[in-house]
Amino acid sequence: MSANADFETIYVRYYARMKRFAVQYVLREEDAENLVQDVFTELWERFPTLSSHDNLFAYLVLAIKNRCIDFLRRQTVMQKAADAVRQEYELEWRANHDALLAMGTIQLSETELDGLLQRALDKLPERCREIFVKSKIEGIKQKDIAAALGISVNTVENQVAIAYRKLRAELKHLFPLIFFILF
Amino acid sequence: MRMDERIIDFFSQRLDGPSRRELLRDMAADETLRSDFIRYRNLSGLATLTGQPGDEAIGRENYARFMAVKTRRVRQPALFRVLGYAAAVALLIVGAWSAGQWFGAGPANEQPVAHNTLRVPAGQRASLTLSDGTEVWLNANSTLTYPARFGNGAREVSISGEAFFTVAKDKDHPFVVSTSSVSIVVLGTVFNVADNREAGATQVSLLEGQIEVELPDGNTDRIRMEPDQLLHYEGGVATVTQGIDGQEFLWREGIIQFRELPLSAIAQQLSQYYGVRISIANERLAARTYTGKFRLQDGVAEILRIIQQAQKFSLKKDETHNSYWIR
Repeated sequence: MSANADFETIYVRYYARMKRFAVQYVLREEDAENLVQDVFTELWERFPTLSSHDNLFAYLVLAIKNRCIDFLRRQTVMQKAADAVRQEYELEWRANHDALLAMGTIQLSETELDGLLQRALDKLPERCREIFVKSKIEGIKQKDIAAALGISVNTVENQVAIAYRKLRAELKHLFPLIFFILF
Repeated sequence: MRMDERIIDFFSQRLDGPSRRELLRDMAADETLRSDFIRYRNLSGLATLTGQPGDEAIGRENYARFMAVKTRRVRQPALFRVLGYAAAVALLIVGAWSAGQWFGAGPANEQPVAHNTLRVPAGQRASLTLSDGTEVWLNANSTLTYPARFGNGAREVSISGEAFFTVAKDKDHPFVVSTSSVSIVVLGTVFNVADNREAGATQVSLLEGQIEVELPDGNTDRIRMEPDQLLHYEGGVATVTQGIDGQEFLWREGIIQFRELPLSAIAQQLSQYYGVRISIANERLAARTYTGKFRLQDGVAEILRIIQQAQKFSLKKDETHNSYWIR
């Protein structure tokens, strides 16, 4: 396989999830896209000189995490926002910046991380899992999920809340140190 | 210890705006609340890293766009490679610029000046004369921000998209054009700027006079351009080539011209002009080149139909989403 084909495989495989990850923290899609694009631009430039890509997944997660931290640091040192919506952005960015700094380094491979989260997700009741994956992972609007499943938005919210509680409890037992390193 | 229920509500989108803000503000004073928020935020964040069924399709679509930009850059015959910067630097400037826009704030030490913004919609173009006599042509889907009147310092404007400037001479007040990546310092001259924010690329063509281009590297080194030179800046790398194609600026007369241009670049240009989305199914098709001239008023559907006749692809249109599929 040529280096180009390798790069393409990596791009196609990881683009979407890296963007989802970045959106969680930087909040706006277009900012997330720019950050992911930058990570790949850097990878593209370094690609010919990379000797081994055994834990490329960890590299990409670290790269996007660092890009998000840089972005959030810049956003939060900006002049104080005036109106409420901007203030909310600023407050949430600040909190997200702290969250990323607290995340610690992911040393798991893709398979390990996938397996770990999958196992936790699998323990959720089926309906609850379906709603959580649609809402928080695929990023579908709660209103649209409610319409598609023929349930109320209220039910969607409740199911997401239940999922959060259970996942947190589940992952706490499994890998508290890797996921939830604080300060 | 019981956790603050509002955190679950926050992430389940059960809080309204005021409650969200209240929670976020409370966190500044409450360490426990902050730790809990961080746990849930990172749980959400890491959950997004699991692979999902639609991922490859999204990845493939974006890969085509990514490579279209990359290959075009390689095609540029580099007379000299000016400097390579970490892409992070370019990002920093773009980030700072957009944040500045977002908060509507200028540098703290400057008096606020009323700024006008001229936005040209898709499929149209406009020209205007600024208060100093400078003439500006704006291409489709482009924005010019300029002060209602110029002050005592430099004459500063910013653009996104494409603009053609004929700057009025004024040695004491340099004219500065900022794009999403570079700044262009002018004394009195004729030039064209095409800024593609999405790709983080800017192209500057100098027709007359002299300009200096300031790269987003934080230091004061500038690239001085001579007439008939083209500067292409992208991904932290600036290349300058000799010889520009005057035909390229026919857009002022409402004419779009493609000369041996790959379909990927044509699609990118048309999406920019008309504010539509054009996807090309595969790379081989995206790399095919086409030469032709169109009127802006022909519209994107008609232009694609004409190119289709030469290139023999199938064209699908999604009216509701303003998207075109070439395969």
